[in-house]
Amino acid sequence: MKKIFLTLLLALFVIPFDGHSKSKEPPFQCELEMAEIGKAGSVVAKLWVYSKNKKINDETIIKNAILGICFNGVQPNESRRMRGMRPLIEGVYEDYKDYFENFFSSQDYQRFVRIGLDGYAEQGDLIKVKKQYKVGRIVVIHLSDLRKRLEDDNVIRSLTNGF
Amino acid sequence: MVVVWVWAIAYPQAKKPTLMVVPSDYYCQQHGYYMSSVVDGKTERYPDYQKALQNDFELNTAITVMGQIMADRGFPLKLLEQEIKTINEQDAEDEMLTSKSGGEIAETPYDRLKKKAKCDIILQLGWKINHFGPRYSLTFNLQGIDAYTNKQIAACQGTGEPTYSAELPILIEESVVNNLETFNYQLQNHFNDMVANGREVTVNIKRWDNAVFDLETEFGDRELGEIIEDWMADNTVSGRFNTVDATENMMVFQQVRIPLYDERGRANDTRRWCRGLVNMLKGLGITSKLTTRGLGQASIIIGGK
Repeated sequence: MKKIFLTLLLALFVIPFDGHSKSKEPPFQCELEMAEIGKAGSVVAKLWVYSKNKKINDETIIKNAILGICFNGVQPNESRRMRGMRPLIEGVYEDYKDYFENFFSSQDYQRFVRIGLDGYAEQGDLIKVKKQYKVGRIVVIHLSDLRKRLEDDNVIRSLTNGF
Repeated sequence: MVVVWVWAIAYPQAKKPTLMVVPSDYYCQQHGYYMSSVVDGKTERYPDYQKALQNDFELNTAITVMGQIMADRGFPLKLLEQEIKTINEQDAEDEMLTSKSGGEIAETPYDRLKKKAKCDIILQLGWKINHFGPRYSLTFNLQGIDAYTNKQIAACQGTGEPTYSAELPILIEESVVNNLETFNYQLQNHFNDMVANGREVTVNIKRWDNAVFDLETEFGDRELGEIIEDWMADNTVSGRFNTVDATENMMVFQQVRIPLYDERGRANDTRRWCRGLVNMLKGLGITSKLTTRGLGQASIIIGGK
């Protein structure tokens, strides 16, 4: 009986109260800011990813760019008089978690973003912010294709919806 | 197969709104693309779209880029150039609407274009070059006008980054790309409202001078004006309309929300929808004349043709 009690007591400290509460990095921590006015149907933006590492891989950049434009939108570039963009999805990531886990499970998502400057960082693209780094990269997001995919998957409504 | 058929019958597809780009009045005036005509002794200037399209390369560039973006969003633009050609093929009799009583209904080339092209939304486009020293920038303006109500339903305006050397077509293309996303967001809100609440139009009821009755004459136990209002309430989306003015001789209904399609699933327009009111009046023994102005204004003149 005493053994069982001790085991239960130990388990109470070892197993978190909530199965979901174990520490986990958020799926995306980034900002997008307009960098250039690209061709129709694409967005050229500066992506700032917050990371504990100085180096971030291409996969992280692409995923952050996609989730960033979907849930955060793109900030305007006031000094260069470029308009920003509203998020493609009205809602929070948690509501679409399953969809995006599936979305990123195939390599198809990589076609929606191209990393500019062949992935090289520009001067000032690495900033230390408290205990983490803010890493910048230029990305070209193929907005038309991404929007079309989200429309086809019924994640967002198309402009022609209802007609 | 049966399910698809039942669905198609039960939920007919509403007509997709059509869009057309025209140069704004300001742009046409500034660049000399206008024609003049004398109306009631006063000279009035109207945009000459044909002249604009035939002489302005930058305008054509802007229309092409806008067409590309809108087609990508599922709304290929109606071509202004093509619509002008069609209108020019009309004979003079068709161009001038005259009532049998001799009164003329004045229509500007803009009204005629709207009516003939049957486009739902006119995108009025214009820009201005700003010079300061050796640098210059482009201020871009785009308004989406509901052709039915003449209300502005979407707009964007902005001045681009100053430059020393960029060519004008590039600046225009950049302005279109930079602004159209914001514009389309507003357009989407308008479409959502239209699908949910119907298309907004204006209906005027008038009476011929020689009619033997007026809108206060009783038919059964109700006045004619009341009967018309009841018909409006029954046939508008959620009974939405405003009686702006009502006398024994006239009634003005604004913000009249007509369904996007009729009970047979056909795309609706103001004339077709008002035909129902004309038929109802006919059932009361009232003859009436139906005229339309543009796409969204109809007048029913009761007491004769």
